[in-house]
Amino acid sequence: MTKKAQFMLVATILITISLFIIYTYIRSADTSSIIFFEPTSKEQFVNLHTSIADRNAWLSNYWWDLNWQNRSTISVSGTIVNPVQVDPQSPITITDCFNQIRVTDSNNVEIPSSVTAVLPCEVVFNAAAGIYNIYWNNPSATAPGYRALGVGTPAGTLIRKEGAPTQLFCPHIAEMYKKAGVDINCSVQNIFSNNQVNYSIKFQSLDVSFDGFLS
Amino acid sequence: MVIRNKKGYFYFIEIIFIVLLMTSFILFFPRAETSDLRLTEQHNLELTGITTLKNLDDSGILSKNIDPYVFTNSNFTTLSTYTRQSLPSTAGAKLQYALSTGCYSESGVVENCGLNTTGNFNAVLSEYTFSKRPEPVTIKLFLWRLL
Repeated sequence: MTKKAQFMLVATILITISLFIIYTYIRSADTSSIIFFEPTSKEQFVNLHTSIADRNAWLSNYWWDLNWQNRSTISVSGTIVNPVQVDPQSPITITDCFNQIRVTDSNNVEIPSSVTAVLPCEVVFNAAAGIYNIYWNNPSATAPGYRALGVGTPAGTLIRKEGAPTQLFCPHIAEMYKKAGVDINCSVQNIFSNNQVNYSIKFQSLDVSFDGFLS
Repeated sequence: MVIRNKKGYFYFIEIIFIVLLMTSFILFFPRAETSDLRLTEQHNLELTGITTLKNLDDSGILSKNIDPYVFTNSNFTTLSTYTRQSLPSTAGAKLQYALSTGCYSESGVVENCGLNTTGNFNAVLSEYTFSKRPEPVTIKLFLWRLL
């Protein structure tokens, strides 16, 4: 090998190494910039999982049974003559009271109750001063063993009416995460015992990909 | 430097390449190190925010002060105080609550979602979804390092 060829070989190697380093330097700067401006989604996915677990734990105490889609919260106070008779539905007409109505105390422990009629109805039960929840809207419910027709002393003040919170979670999550650039689909898959909601989740982002169920 | 012959000329060229090579190395390392440190710092700040909000939830402060039915009836002053006192003094912060109806400021007033970036281009966002109420609320905590 001549000295000229030797020089050319060494020079070529040095040039190649130099170009490679310059290339990796530019790539490094580019990647840093991209990472800096593109938020990662790992924490968001962890947040999603945590919020589902927290919500299931909370639901077990908040709602008596998610198969019942509505409830009225009633306050009973003043001089109480048992059994009391309360109007839970105004202005909603409850269908099939005999089968669908359930009453719980403030701790969501079911207490026996009667109804004044099959449709529409008021609810009759023995009460002390306090808060009671009256659940309805479960078309597949059958009458409990204690159910009868009866009358009582009008009592009770409606505090609030609300729907089961089952369907409120997914729209919120979808709206929050879509704004953050996450492709997300969320829906209620099924409900296990003790109000444990199983969600079908599809979560797709730059760094997280999940398609399955979370509860 | 006096180049007396062809051999000297080759050595001269090779020395120039070596200098270029070393310069490239010198340029490469500080840039990568700076980027990495900056990203780590931002990520740590984000985790600090998430941990802070999670701790407030676990300790029952969010449940006590966020109204379960009417969000605007929440105790925003207490929420703000607890959140800010939980953060390091080296961090600037802005708190925002996001519901399906829109976003609410730290004091419970309706505002545009997101951060007004004036002077806070390095802010990171920590999000925590408080789901122990019928309609969940996502707490957005914008954090940045105070110089």
